[in-house]
Parts: sequence; C-alpha cells; structure tokens
Amino acid sequence: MKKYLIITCCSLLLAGCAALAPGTDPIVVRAQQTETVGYATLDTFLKVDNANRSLFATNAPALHQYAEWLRAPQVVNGTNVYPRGIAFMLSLDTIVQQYQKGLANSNQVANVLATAETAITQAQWYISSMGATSLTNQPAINTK
Amino acid sequence: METAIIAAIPSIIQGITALVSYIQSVRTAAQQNNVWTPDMETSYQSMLASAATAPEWQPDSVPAAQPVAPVQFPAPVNTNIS
Repeated sequence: MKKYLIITCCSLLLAGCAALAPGTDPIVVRAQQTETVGYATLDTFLKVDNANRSLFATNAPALHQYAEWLRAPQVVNGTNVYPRGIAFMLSLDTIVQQYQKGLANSNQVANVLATAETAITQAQWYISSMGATSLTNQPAINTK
Repeated sequence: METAIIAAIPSIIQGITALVSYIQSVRTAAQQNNVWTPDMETSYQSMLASAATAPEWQPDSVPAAQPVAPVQFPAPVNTNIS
C-alpha cells in the first residue's frame, strides 16, 4: 500500500511538469492537467478510504468525513446526479469546452479551476498523511 | 451467465478507471493535433460519469428506516341506541 501511495504521489508531481507546446492556451492545458491529476488523486484517495471505511471513520474521522463529502451526490446540468468529486471534473471539462467555443471567459475557467484545485489539494494532503499516526493537525476545510 | 457477468463487474469498473486515466493522458495531445472530435469528448464525459458507479465513489450506506407500526384507531362507538 505504501509503495502504491509513493508511486501515485510521484506521478502526480511529475504530471505538473509537462512542457507547454507552442500555440496552446495555457489555461486550457492547465485545466486538463488538473482534470487528469485530479481524477487520479480523488480516485486514489477514495480507494484507500474505501479499503477500510470503519477504521478511518473511527481513527481519522476528518479524513473519512472529507471522503464522504467527495462522494455526496450533486446535480450536474440540471438532471444528472454524480458524486461531488466527479462533478468537479465534469464541471471543469464543461467550462473548458465552453471557453474553447467562446461561450465562457478565462475568469470563469479560473474560478472552476480554483475550486477543483482546492479539493484536489486537500485530498493530496490526506493521501500524504495516511502513513502518519495522527491526523489531528489537518488544515481546516469548509465542507458545508 | 448472470453469475459470470456479476463476477466480471469489479474488473470492468477497474477497466473504466484505467481507461479514463489513459484517455485523459492522450486528450491534450489529440486536441493539439486537431484529432479530438466532439463525439470523442461526449464519449469521454460518459466514461467519466460511469466511473461514479465504482464502489469507492459510493457514500456510506444509510441504515434503512424502521417500518412504522400502523396507527391503531379505537373501535367505532355504536351510537345506535335503541
């Protein structure tokens, strides 16, 4: 398990170092990189929590509470219901599509991107802390 | 047949997760080369949505609500006094 987490963390760090090809829009590339890293991060985090939910709920309630927050159903595009983590990725993908078609501006993309990055950063922090004996000093996040 | 399909579900879900990661990794390059079509984007979004069916994405099970006992109304009073 520890080896798996180390490999995941290294791949996530390296993914952010990809070179930008000439002529590409930086915010689109950054959004797609975030989407790629974000999905892998959230999926890994939830897989680890899912491996022993009762253990984390008892010994690291904040971690499990955050996992449940990511799993909470959200309505996307009016009718479809997805877990919040998937909804973040779909929203990011949709706003990038709209931006590429000229239907959204870069500020709107940046706003969705910032929201997704905050959630991903929190999950990364929990993944890196899973080997620690205490999870009592985690940064606060508003899960309301 | 049904048992075989049910037994294959975990590996199918694992396959979806791996496939999403793979598609994401090649998408940026495909877009830069103008070979990423709207149909491919639609398929990608459907695939991402289907990943939500994986067990790790399901919230904790909520205990089922206890059935409520039917209300016992008092027997009707016979008002026909003869």
